[in-house]
Amino acid sequence: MMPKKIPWWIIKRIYYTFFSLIGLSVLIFIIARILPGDPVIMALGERAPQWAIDRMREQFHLDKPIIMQYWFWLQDAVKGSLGISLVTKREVVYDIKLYFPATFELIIWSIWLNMSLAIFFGVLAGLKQNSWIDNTLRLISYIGVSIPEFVFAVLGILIFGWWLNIFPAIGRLSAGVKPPQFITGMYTFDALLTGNIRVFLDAVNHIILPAFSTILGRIATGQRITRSGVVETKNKEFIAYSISQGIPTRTIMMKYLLKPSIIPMIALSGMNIAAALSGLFVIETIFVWPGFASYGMQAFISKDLNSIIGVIMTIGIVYALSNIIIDIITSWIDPRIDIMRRSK
Amino acid sequence: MATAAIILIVSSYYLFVLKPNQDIDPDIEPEEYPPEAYRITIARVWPTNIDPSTNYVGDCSSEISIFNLYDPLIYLDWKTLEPKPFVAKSWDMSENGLIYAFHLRDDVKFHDGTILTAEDVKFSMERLLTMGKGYAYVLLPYMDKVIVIDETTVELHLKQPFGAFLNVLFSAFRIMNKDLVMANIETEGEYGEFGDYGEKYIQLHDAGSGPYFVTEFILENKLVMTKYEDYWLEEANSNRPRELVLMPVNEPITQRTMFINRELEFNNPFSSLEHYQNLNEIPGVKVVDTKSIYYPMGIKFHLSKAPLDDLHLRRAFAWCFDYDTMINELLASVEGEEQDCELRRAYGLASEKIPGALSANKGELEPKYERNMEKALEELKQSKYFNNISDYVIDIDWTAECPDREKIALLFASNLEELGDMAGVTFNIEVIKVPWLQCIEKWSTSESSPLAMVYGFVWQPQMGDISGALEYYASPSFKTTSSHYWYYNETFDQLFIDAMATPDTEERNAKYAELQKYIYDQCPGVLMGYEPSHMAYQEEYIDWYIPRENINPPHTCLGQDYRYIGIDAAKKAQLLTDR
Repeated sequence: MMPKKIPWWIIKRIYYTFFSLIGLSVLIFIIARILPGDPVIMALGERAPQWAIDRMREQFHLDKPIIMQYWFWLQDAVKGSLGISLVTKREVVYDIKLYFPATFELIIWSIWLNMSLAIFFGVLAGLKQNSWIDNTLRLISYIGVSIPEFVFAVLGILIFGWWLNIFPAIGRLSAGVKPPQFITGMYTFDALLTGNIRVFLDAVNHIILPAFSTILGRIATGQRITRSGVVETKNKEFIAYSISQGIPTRTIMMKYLLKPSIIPMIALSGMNIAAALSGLFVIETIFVWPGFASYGMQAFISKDLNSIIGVIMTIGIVYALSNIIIDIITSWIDPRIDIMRRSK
Repeated sequence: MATAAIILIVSSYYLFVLKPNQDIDPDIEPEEYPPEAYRITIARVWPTNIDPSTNYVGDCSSEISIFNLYDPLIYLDWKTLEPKPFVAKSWDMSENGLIYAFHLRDDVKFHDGTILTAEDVKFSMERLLTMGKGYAYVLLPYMDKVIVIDETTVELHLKQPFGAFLNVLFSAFRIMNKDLVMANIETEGEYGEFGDYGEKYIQLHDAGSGPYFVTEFILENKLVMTKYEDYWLEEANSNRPRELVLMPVNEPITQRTMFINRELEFNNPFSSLEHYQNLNEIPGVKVVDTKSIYYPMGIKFHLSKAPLDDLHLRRAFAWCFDYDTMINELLASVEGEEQDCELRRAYGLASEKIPGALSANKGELEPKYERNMEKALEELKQSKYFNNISDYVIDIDWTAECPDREKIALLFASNLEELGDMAGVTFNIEVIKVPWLQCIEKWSTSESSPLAMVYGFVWQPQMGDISGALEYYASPSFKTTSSHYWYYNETFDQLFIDAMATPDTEERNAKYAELQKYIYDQCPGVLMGYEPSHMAYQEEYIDWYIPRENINPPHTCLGQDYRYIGIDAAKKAQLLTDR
């Protein structure tokens, strides 16, 4: 049961987040402009005549002082526009809408797989503490943590894309497969929502390898955290008392043991969402996944000023929202956590 | 546990019951072979711009796309580079070289079915020049106006004669569907009554008459082009692919997997030699040296920055370089290819195959640089910086996206150290890796440019002759990544412009010869050799005219012209089933 003060707490968090985002926008606005590279030359090419360069500078207010540039940007942002991308020539908001779902879909699948497997192996290791199962899982987790994502990605393509030829190496759908009707932009969910099972399975087929490549190292971390939680909780007196009272093992596991043990895992997952938005660039490059991280990296490389700010602001908003949601979930799971007190 | 069970059930169903890759799209009519059997997928470095008026100059993926979506006025012979009729079935040039009248075919259709006319040519040229982007820089100094005489006759008027005009037209100019573009302009734009000139629309769609039209373009990821069944060119390959897909597949392991699975037909250039060797081992895949690089790879010097503003020092560097190792090891072709090592050496500013180019190998330029440490030492001792050379840092930049160039930089650094040991001096050398887009920034000013860079002594094929290389020694080009000369000489600039404006070929080449000698005498860098221009392709079922006819046209698009490339769908379908 959620505390009655949650709605006010959410409003308060959003209120503080708003000011954080303003600060973030100022910071990234300045940083984007002091990065090396002339965005106009990059957009027009080095052979562009001077009058074309001057015209574009004027069009994007780049001939004005930085404070004026920020003011123009802020005016547009308040109206819901983050400006025009120098590279795509489209509204940045449109680009984000286009590319964000692909990455978010990958994140959701990654987090779901990560949590499921990490919790499963973590509970197993915790219950079989110091057994060969626990030791084996611990060894695997040490290896997993030390191997970078791209190594898993390359190995995944090698084994499953090449030798076994089970999963495709690139893209979100097979060539010739039409995307489902746009609802969320996430092909798996849109296919399910429109009842297109074949497209759903094809989309799942394509997302499996990149999702696993993303989480294989993180399962190790989650598994270690969950294991610690289980080990700590199972030795508590109330567990022993519950067992002595004859409460079914399943109930003890699901209700008394699991809930407190997975809270750190859930908090970690929340932080991973925002980190993944920018960190999935390598995975998206290897799997030619048309996602937000690739778009962001291209924006930085091209010094596409408006896109850079749009990308960073999006990550900031997602980070803030995910933390709010995670706090609510953890408070719901463990009513002892008073988020009102925490927020003070 | 429930999650694990769900995963197991779904994956079992998928793996053993359902094959999602087949018969997914109910809109595709049943054919003899699956759609992928008629598809060619090409890996290219991104981004891709398909607007012929704004495309990135020299960008492979953009050029291939535009070349296959649009038609040029004239075509170039693959071997001789002589202009030949295409959309323009004939042309006349006025005596003073200022007016070109083109007579167009009357059967060329745009992808919407409308007929291409002189109005479209006029519109396309004016669009290119007004927007001022892409290849406009080549034509802006020369183009005056375009006049429509009738539906199939259009005159292009120049401000001054331009010897390479027809060659430039082939590379820089494409004909767009005026009505389609105008129907899709955004009225609020920077071009007055023309709004945005349809820039936003053309970014994702085409307005061309070429052998392919755009079906889908995900800007960051994939361009899909479908064969235009009503294409006018009779000699086009009847088995050309029904679908072309361009994608940024740059990871070697991904490329290898796709080649083996027959999901990729052509890879991108600029990969490492090791990667090409691996691809060459895949059954049915062949790596071809297309020899389309007509300009030598080398180390380019900054002629205005100490200590390389000293001619003796530059010559010392040119004499000490290990050309044999460079050719035999670093510029080596894939194993199994004929090693034309001597032919790979560079003895001039550009390949001898280019009209008007001179060569030290023929005695037309002097000296003929070979590795000679005694001569290098002799030149070094004459340098005014000999006694304090260690006070200077010799920074050598190489482009991060071309991994083999680091090896060249390291070889050069090693040779300098060897020379320094012989002379009893120390060279302070820094080899610096620079991402490409930072190169554009860093190399755009004299102050920020390094002393040396590993780069090609670029030749622009659109110029049609040696002027495409000489242009980089004229001051307007200094800020470009392909120049790096930085030695201002007004006389040279004027002589170059005068040569370009000379209509008579012989007279023009004589002027170019003097300019080449002048530049070569300055020792602008270490002219090493010609890089192999490798490309891997599915030899088993692709009919590619480059290896078949043993030609090596210099233009990127002339090697990837899908008007003339065929696919054996039956063979590909068989291979897809066998994998």
